[in-house]
Amino acid sequence: MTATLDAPAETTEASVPLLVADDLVKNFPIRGGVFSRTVGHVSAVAGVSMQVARGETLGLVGESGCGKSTTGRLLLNLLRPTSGTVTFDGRQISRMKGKELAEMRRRFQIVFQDPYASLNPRMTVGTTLAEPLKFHFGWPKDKIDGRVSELLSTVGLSPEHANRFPHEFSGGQRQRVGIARALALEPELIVLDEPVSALDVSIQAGVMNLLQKLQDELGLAFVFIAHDLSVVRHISDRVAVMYLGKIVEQGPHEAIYERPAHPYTQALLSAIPLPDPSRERARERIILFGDVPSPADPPSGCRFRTRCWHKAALEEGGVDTSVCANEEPLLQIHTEKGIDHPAACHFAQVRSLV
Amino acid sequence: MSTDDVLLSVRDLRAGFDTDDGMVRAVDGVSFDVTRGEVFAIVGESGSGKSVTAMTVLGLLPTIKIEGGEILWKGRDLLSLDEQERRRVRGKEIAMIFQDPLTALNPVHTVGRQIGEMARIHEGMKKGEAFDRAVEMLDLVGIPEPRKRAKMYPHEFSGGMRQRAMIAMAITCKPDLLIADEPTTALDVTVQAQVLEVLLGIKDEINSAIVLITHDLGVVAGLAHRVMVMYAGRQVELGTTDEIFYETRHPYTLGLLASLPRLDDMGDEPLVPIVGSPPSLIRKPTGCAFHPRCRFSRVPGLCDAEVPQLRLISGDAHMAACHYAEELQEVSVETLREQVDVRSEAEIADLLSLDQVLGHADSDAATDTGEATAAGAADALAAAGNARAQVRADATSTSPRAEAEAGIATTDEEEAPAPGPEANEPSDNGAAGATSASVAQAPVAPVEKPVAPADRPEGKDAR
Repeated sequence: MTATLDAPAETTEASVPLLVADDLVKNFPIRGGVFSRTVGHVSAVAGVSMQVARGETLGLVGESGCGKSTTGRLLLNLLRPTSGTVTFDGRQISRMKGKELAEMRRRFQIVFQDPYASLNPRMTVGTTLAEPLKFHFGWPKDKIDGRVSELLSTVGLSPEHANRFPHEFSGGQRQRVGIARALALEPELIVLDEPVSALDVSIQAGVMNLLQKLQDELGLAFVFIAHDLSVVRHISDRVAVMYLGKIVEQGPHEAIYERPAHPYTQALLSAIPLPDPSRERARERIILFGDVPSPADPPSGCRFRTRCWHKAALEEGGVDTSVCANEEPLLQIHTEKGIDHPAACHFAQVRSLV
Repeated sequence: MSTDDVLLSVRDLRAGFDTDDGMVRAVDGVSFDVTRGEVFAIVGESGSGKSVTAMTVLGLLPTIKIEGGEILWKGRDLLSLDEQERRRVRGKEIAMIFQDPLTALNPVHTVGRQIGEMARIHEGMKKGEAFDRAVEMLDLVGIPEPRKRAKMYPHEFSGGMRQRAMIAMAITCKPDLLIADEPTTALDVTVQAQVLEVLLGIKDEINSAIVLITHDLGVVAGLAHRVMVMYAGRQVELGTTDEIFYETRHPYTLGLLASLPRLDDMGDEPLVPIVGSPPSLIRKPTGCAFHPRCRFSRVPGLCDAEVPQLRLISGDAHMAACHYAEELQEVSVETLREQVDVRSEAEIADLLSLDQVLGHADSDAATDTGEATAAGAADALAAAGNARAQVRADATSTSPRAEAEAGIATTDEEEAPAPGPEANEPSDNGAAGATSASVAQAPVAPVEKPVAPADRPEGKDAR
């Protein structure tokens, strides 16, 4: 697949994108038998291509098991791709090793979902934040202390909090520490893996506002991974929707939310309850049947076809849909159907649902 | 609805847990009715007491200490029944659907056997009959090939199917009331839509009522007829779904609505978080438990001293527990979003809440940061105050109110680090103290005291 063509170049500036992922594939082996031989593969990510420009937010959405977190880790080379490449600022990082990679890592960071599990409980927040500074910059202690205080204020905590341990913070504050740690080395890109999913809504809003503020002030690029489409809409410039290891639709956020063309995106959007009773009662809801198929044995052709409501409707209308099972739909722009962003569906059709 | 239709009536329920650190008052004076055929939603954040309320109805918490109140089930007080009698009600007349079906289902028995157990215990069915009933129930909740599925174990089911199996188990005896505790929180949205549809269909089929416990206001908007909002173990607002969403009368509910990112918003406006974090149930703030986080609280004197009672605000049964509920008539989520300077405010708020969370009284640190940011907080709150003042064109005096609120901002900062027991004696803030304090702390001291809204109850005006 000529993946770079699929990436939506029309929304980014002419400048070189900060991060380019080209046809990323990641298979995890399934081991079985007496000698733990590899008996199969879970195809977690199956040909994902994307670009992230400086200062923009790419939202990556999908349900559990769709490969969005794996993609996030592949982008940062925390996992090695089975095939495909990741290029950061013109340099290929997916084959980098050792010192070279360590130096590059300074420029891209990650924030994890559960801030309690990702912070060392035995280290004070100050030590946690100082560690990358010591490792990468080798600064003297007073300079590091100064930077730690600065980082804490940046994320809305007070410098005194450096002496406290993670358990002494509330969930929202812990997530702020996680963000401060990612900011420590002044990265250009941060992958945020479900950063607000574990937080109560009232707290979540504060963390989201902080992220937007940081982006405005520091010109960071974000890859924002989440299952909550409302959160993603709020923060993203562009959105990529994943299903079973593939991107099924990608585009500027207003295109995805207002003119979704892929049946899965449409079902996903229609399933999200709006906190507005009268509109909620009036909405049409697309109910998908069944569950997500196992990524160890994905359906042939279009991976969504086993649950596709659109295909079912077409078949009822007497349309031949054998192409869905026989041919994999490419992520491409269907201008002839009046769709302005790439969608991977043979029968793509715009439908407004929000 | 007639009174005969009231299935469950909880009256002034007070319950908690004894811990080494003190009594955790998880449920504090909660009253509500559930009528046949309705979906009654209980909404709140983690630790608000919503699950404990539901579990207490079923008597599923052996370590809980009931301190008072009654739970009337069809007129009988469940709390006065012995364990034998309660068992007859539990499962048969009131059934529960738990959040996480994998931990709620027994991993070593087949799904069919577990569902059939309900019929065997409550209806004395034989094994074979019970199994057939289980198959029938699985079919009812939309599980394909139910006979084959009934012979499988929970781990062979996907998340959505497990939750359906839980629903099947709960409805086996056609209960009059289903209590669903976050039934879809662990599920993906597309599966959530499936499960909710099943749940609603079943409700109509067996003509029962549902108590839906959730933190997701979207789910509430689509499903519930009436809503109860809880905060720190107390009810703060109770009303029909439309009343709660469109005529919100409690600052906490308003805050929840304003902090939600919405699928239909463009992401241009910042969200409005509720400042700070939920309080510890052992050391609740004095007065209104929400006042340290409240944008509308006017400390000192009322909000921090007097616990607001749940009272009728409008319509037949729209109730709210806020001293200023009447004024909130003029405030909508939109005005809140437009007017509050969120970004500067959010940071300061977290500084405050940290010390509340810890219960630390290290006032040095807190005042340092407090002073540095107090100006910002005052600005932000004054902006909020002005916004409301503009909205309330009928208000007799606008500026003193805004200024008084700016004063509150500074008070808040100082109050925050000391939520200890000594804060329990705010009575000396009474008559004259309250006015002078608020005037003294306002940046531009207004001479007159804030004008009380005319419609506020007499007693509270005494100060």
